[in-house]
Amino acid sequence: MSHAPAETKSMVTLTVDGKTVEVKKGTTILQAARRVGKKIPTLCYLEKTHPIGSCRVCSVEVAGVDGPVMSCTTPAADGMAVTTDSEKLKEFRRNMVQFILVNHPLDCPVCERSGECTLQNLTWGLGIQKHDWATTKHEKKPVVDWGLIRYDQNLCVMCERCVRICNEVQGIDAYRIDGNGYSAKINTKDGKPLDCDFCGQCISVCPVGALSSGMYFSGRSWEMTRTPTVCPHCAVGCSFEVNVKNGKIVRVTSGNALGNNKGNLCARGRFGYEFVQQGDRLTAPMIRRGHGFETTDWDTAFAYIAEKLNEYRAAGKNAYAGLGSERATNEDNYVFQKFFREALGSGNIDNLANMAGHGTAAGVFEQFGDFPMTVSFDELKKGNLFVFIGLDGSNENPVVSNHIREAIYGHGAEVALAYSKEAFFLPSPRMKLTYGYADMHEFTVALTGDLVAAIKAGGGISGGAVVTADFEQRLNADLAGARATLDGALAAQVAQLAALIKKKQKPVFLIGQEAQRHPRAGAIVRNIVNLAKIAGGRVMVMREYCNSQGVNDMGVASNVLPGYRKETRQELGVYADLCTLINNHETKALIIADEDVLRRHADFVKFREAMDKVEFAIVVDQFYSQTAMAADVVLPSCTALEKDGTFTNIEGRIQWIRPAVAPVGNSRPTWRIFADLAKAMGRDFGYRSTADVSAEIAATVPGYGAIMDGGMTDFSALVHGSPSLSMASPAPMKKPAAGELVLLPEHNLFVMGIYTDYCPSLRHLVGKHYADFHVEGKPYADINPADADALGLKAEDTLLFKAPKREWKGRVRLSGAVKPGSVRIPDEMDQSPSLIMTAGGREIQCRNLLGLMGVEKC
Amino acid sequence: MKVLFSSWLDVIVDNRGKARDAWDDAKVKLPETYDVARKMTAFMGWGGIVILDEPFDIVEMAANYVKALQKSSCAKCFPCRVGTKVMEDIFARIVAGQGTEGDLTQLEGLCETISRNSKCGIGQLGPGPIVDSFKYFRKEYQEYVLGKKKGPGYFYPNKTTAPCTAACPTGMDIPLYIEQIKEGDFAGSLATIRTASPMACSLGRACFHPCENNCRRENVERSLAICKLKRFAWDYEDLHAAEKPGNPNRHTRPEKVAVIGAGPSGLSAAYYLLLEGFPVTIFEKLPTPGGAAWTGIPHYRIPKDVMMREVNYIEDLGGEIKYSVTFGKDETFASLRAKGYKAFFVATGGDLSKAMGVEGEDKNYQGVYGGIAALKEIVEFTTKDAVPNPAIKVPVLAKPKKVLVVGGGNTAMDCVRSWIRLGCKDVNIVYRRTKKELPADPHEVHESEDEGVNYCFMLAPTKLVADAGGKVIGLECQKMEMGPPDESGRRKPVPVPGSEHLVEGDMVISAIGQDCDIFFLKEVPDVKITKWKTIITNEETFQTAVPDIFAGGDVVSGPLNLVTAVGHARRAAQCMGQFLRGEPVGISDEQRMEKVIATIGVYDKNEKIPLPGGWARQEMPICDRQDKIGSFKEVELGYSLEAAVDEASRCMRCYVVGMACVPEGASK
Repeated sequence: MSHAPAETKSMVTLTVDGKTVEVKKGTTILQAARRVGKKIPTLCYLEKTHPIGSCRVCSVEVAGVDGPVMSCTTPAADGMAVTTDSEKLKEFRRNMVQFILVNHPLDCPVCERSGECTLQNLTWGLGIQKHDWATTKHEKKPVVDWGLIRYDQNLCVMCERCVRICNEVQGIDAYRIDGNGYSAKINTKDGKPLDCDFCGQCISVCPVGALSSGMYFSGRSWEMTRTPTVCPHCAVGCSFEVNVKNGKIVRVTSGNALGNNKGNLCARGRFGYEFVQQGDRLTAPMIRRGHGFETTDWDTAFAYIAEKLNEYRAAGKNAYAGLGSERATNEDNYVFQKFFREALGSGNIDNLANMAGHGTAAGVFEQFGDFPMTVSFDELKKGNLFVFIGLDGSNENPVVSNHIREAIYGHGAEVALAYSKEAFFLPSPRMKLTYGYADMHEFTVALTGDLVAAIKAGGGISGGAVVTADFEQRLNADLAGARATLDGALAAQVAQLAALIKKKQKPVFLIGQEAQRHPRAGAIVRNIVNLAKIAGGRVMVMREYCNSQGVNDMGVASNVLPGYRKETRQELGVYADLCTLINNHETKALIIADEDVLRRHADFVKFREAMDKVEFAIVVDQFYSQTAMAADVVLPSCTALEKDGTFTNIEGRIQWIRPAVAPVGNSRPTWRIFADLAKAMGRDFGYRSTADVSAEIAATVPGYGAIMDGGMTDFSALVHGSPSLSMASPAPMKKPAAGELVLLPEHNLFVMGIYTDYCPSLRHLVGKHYADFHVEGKPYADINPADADALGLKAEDTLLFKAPKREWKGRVRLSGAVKPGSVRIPDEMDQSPSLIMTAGGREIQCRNLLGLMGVEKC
Repeated sequence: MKVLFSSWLDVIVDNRGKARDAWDDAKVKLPETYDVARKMTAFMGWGGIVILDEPFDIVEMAANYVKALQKSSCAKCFPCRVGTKVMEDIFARIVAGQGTEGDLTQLEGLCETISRNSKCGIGQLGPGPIVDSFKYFRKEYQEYVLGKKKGPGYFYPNKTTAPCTAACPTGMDIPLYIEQIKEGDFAGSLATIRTASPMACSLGRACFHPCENNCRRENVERSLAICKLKRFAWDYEDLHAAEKPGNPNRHTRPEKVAVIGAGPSGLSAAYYLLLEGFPVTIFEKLPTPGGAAWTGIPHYRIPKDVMMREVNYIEDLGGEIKYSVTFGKDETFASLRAKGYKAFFVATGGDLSKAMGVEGEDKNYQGVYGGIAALKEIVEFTTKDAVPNPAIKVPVLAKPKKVLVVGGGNTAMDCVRSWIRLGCKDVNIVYRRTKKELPADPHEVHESEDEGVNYCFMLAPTKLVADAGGKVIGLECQKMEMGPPDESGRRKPVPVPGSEHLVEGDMVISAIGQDCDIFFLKEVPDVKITKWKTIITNEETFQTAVPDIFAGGDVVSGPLNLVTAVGHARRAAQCMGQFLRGEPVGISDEQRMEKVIATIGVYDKNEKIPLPGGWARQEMPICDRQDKIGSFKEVELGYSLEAAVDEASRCMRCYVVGMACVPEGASK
């Protein structure tokens, strides 16, 4: 139901400096004036939040009203005659700015905002040349250091922008105004050191130099070149500008409205650029000689590799295997697969995000069938209800939550969270459902059952798929069993959620890592797709890396060609997962492109054995990573900030990246490495530039016609007809034995992905938040207090974790949010199938259910 | 009243230099004394300056006033945050004898800039009396500038309030909670509301909202929906997975408190006492909580399942409610004192329907009901599914053909609208005056008309008429007409002789008011009562003549309304806390100022506000018509988030500071 009375939809007509303008009722005078090109000076105004109205600089005159009217907070009304400039207004505006200048330190020469400071610009623009007033001078207050965010009260003008953006856009609500009157300052809500997501949005909106990161003090705004490009961290694909001075990246900015992220960035986007120019980068090709590496030039390396690869050709179709990358561009991946298929004649390639094949997210892609699997953020924002399933929204793809908050404040959308622990979202979600990890599939079955029942009870949902008798029969076969698995309170909540979906309509289901990596991922995702179809809603799969989507679209998988055309050429190889392939066949050479597989693979021990088994391992990487260390030849590729090309984000939007700095050392774009290698093997692809590759993609990959202008992928061409609703009935999950704990990963934004390994400032935040996380190698293990009691554990107790090939110390953190029967450790720590946790001489078996079960295809 | 000088609301009365008996009258009202012991000689505030009498020192007072402005400046706009600080510093110079004429000119300029550009009343209206002081007391300033005078050091108690806040019996910080909604801090908003009342759910649904009648936005286009925004804040917490604030002081004090009556006043007092650490037990006569808010307000206005959650929260904080305990019979002051209870809050309300005083009323005719008793049955019947309660025997409701409800207050409205919902087609109000005089909330009257209630105005009942079997068949009524104006100039209705006639009806409900049932006070004869059978307490502390017995709500004020009862409880709980901790029982200077400010009045309906207006109030969405008259489902559906934020954005945040001059100095 629309709560907005009809009249708010109508238009009003007013004049601004004599120009007539018609605007929607509810539009402010300021917005109306901007519509006709009248620029009213502002300081506190932010487009993204409700008007603040603290600076009082944007005053205008309205005919018939005695005195100035603040244009940012006053809605335009019919027949209004607005004057935006007059001597009196100038005087008022000057006075407002003078109030700030009363005690603003003249630190401009040493202030990092200088040159892009709103206060400087206003003082200049309004021609303020004198000081009318004075107060007793403030004594200089020390700068508060909150890690990556610092607050200098002396420079603060109390415009409240940081408070508002943190609350409304970021949903954290970390700040408040502390105190009254002149001595008021910005402080954290609880007065303790800032404990937030460190997105730095507050810094980005600070009109003066009061908020800063402390990372950037090496350049002045006018000394920097700014290159607009796309963030290489996660699959949201936020646009940002890389600020470079003398060839060195000094900061990242994003303006107010840049890109599909509308200028919003998370901590990784804003502060996670250090990986590009730091000591661990590979700068030259290296060939293993004995126990060490010898650096060499590209030609020598290519000649060496070509000779070796040609040598193995005789070993048959399974002589080669390769792994592409979620972090590489479409162009990189396209040339990589082309190199394999055309230069080596092998189709034995894969990637760690292979939803269609044998990756952790087995079979997820297939579940979409005729359902468009991407949804644009514009479309997403129209949703009335956002159901997070297995998604930790503040750590995974956090900028998506900014879009959701826009829907919450814009049209009262609601959020429901379903996770294996009590999840977090602000503003308070409508519902929080906590399922047992092992029961996640049953949870989705029960929700489907309850939604079907709710619809049958009357009312219906517009645009929903018809629930056929067949489907219902199929559903009913599993329903009782599924419901019986859930405890009573959760079952009641599931029914409430179904009712909420029916009431709100237009739901968007967001599928997080927990669901994608689940042993029952295929069946779970199929159920979520069913739910979306039945409710006339949409699905967004929250991908982990900047090109998790594109790597699959480019056909870096043995069974599909670019654009998901079926690979039918048996002669290119037999498909199995890479480890099995290598272990069971005479695979001689393994080529890994831009993937630190030994750090990321769910069973890295097995993968390491495979790497050791092949005769020749080539690793293309940017860093001297664990994987690179295990290679025979290491080739240096350049990072996303040093090259051009395209990434495809979770919306299916193809976005161009641009080089902001020159490649470090002799590093090259990955696509060029493989094109050059092909050439060295006598196969010239003929590419002169990245654009040549992109053009070939546009011409040959269905759905990628828009690549050259950075448009959206069009997968309608790829949709395969499949039954509208269908279900899988996987066997129930095995559960850990009594006394054992389920081992679950905790996601943490600051350490997610590979690049953060090489971003000291971000890692510093982790050290700050999780105390001695890395410094002393004692990561936390979150345990429910009841379990801890039963196990005789206390907070801060030291634990010893033993995995098959390594062991480490951890420490107990008690958390009521954790579901009893589970232990949660950081995602980046060893998630081996089975860990022994030793505490006080007692051994507790911790089971990674994924390992316990293996992946069941459906 | 006679004052030495007044510039209040720009009406200048200047009696300086005139003989006292030649003083002109000023249209302003202020108490003559600050408290029992001390005189108040001047008042300064949003409307100007009032000098009641000598001695006073206008410059020192203005300096203190500016200091108070700076202290209450929320720092959310530049001119007020910095400007009043600049003014404070200049005033400090002047008072110290170091001011110049230039300072005065600069102050005048600052007053103009601040008042024209500030975000809220503190900055907009604060400089007003300072400007007046320059204009009418220039000589005094010059004496300071010339170093001829020094401040006498009088006492200047002050209070920051707002028209809405001053009108609210709980003194709720309304502009703050509205602003918090505007800023998306819904939990903060509810926390603000809870500092003044734990009953946001009930008040947000059924308050008579005097705040909205004192809202300055009304002068621009239409008052703010203050009441319904309160409901939004509560509903938001109720509907979302938000964590409710806990009680860190739960049962940390040893002194047990007994609250008699689980109505709005009793529940509220319990809430505040619990937060102060006192263990509280509430003794309730009925098997349900909420008192008049439960039994007297039908389900379609306050759904009882929703209200139950409001009550449960008070239990979550450590409160215990003992149901079906009749105080004075099952328990007494003596029995509870023996069980270790150290203080009592009597909040038994008024639940006896007042008699109409007509012939036949004593005959127990079938089909004649008191309004409160009738509503109680309706509530019990209609909430039997929403809030099942085995202690209640669900009543069998009579289904009359024609209902006559005598009275024009909110109880009468609740009765007629309930019988419409029960399917009765012929429902009538019998009222002795005209529509204009109906004491009920105009919104309720409008809704009832929309639902099909028929109004019989200028009709007074004289006799209940029954058939031979003792079943009522109607009401004999007299027509009324407007009589001549009385001494106050008001015309009163008088009966038209010989106009008696029968108005037929098989059910007659008397809804003309309630009385309090205070039989239990026989045990404590020292507790004094009025002739209307209400309890006499100290007006400021709600303490009775028996020190451990406090009282509040309808049993003190006579049947009034929810919010007044809640307001009593907040103050009474504060004073009970003092009593229990062995501190002197009394109120603060700020609270004393509330009374001063209430006397002079904050809201001025004639004020011209320099804003363009045209910002429509958000309409409250209501349920389908079919549900509205065919069921007891809640009529008002509550604001959506975006509607609430938009409505809250209309608030002008009319904070103002009022200050008194007390020459005798602060209390020791």
